[in-house]
Amino acid sequence: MTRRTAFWVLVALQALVPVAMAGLREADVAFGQHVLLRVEPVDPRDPFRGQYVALRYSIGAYVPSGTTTGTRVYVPLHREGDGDVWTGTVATTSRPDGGTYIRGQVRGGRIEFGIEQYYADEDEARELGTALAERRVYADVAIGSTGRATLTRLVVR
Amino acid sequence: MASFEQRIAAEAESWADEGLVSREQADAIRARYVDTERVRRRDRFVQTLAFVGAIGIGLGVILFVAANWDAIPRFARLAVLVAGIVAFYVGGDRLSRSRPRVGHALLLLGCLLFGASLFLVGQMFNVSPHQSLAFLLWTAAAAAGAVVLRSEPFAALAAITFAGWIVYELADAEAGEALVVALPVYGVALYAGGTRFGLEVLRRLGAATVFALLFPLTFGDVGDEVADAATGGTAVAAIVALAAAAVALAAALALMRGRATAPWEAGACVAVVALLGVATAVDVGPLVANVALVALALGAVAVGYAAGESWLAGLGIVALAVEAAVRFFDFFERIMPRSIAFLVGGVFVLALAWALERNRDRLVRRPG
Repeated sequence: MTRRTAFWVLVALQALVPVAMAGLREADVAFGQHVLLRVEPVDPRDPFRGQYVALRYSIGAYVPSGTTTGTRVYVPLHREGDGDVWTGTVATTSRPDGGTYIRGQVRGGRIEFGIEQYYADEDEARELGTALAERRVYADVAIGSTGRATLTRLVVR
Repeated sequence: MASFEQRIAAEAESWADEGLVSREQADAIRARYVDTERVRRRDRFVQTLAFVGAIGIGLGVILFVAANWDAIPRFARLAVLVAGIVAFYVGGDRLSRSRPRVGHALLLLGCLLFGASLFLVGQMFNVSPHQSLAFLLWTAAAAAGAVVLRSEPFAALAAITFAGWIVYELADAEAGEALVVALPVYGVALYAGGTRFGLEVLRRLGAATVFALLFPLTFGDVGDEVADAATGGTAVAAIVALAAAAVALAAALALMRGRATAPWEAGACVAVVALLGVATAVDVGPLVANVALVALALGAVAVGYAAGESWLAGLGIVALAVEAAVRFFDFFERIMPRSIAFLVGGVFVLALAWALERNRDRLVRRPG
């Protein structure tokens, strides 16, 4: 491969990586299963990305014994009664054979699902903060076939 | 006003026209002044200006996009980022032929925007920051750019983003205290690798990293904390991997031909890695760390002198000066009132600076 070809391959790859990252998420949003999860509040600021609302999920409390920070875990989800809110009360280190499940990682004594931040402008963040404190916020989450979660929006009830 | 190089070129041309010298001799005279230190200095200045400008533009673009983020549809955001990356690379490539330094700055800007896009795409989908992966992808892109474009600025970007990956990986594993050891070991690897493979920018980054991060260990409390830190598997694996890389590169440096100081530099690299390794197991105490820092700084001055590298000698001198000043204040603050301590300390540091500057001038101006 000539240096010139290598240069154009480099440019093409750098252009494709963000497209691929976005494409994978878009596919999850378009074709994945959407569930509503209960949200708990927290509140820092990410130096890289500006204003956002920090979130915590009640299903993140069930850390399996014997796991350490970084361990990948899966939480099987089921509907709460007849409502449209989903929940989970157990986590496993092995991927479930079927059903709806969400993938996470053990971090700081909880499970994180990679959807702990919702980016919002200052006004929206303030409104969401109030609703979060009153525990009226639910997360609309798209879950892909591997259990990967994408937060599509927050629902205030 | 025409520069000396332009005037000598015009003179050579007129000498050739008048038959005083041949056309070949006129060309040789012109060529003699093309690569002078003054020209190289001016080129470096232009390069620095171009990079500062490029970074300014990059920050401006990112801040503008970020400020208007909510108003831009998701696909348009992605299009802006991708078009920006391609435009900077293509523009840089085109410009490289006529204005190589400005062109190179635009190429670097393309890679900076690529890195920013990794974080901004994450924001589009409310993805929590696993910056460690983004930093690793950014490192790969910059390292590939360094190889393909034979670019030191790309190599520097790769080195810095990889350091970012180390920081986030260890912070993510809740082993932040291991950074006091991991980063200087990484600095050693950069210095050894940069020296062996002739990448000046990596040498400078590596040497500065080692001195800056060895310094905290000279304070007793830090050494104590590093030794007591209950670091997990990730931290141990990271430190072992970095230490192995640093020692391997030091071995390659030791076998380097044509550089008289290479074995000494390699020995110093291995010694620093060994010291940091020991520091993770037992409290080495402030005395050992201080002696090691002073020895390393003196070594840098000696190697800088022997290899004719004034920056390395200068770095060693700065390290010695900072070490002397801090220890001096440390000592006198304990035995006399603060105002007197500052007065005496100030006079001491000023005298030290005077002595060091005088010796540095001698070193830099030595013949040969």
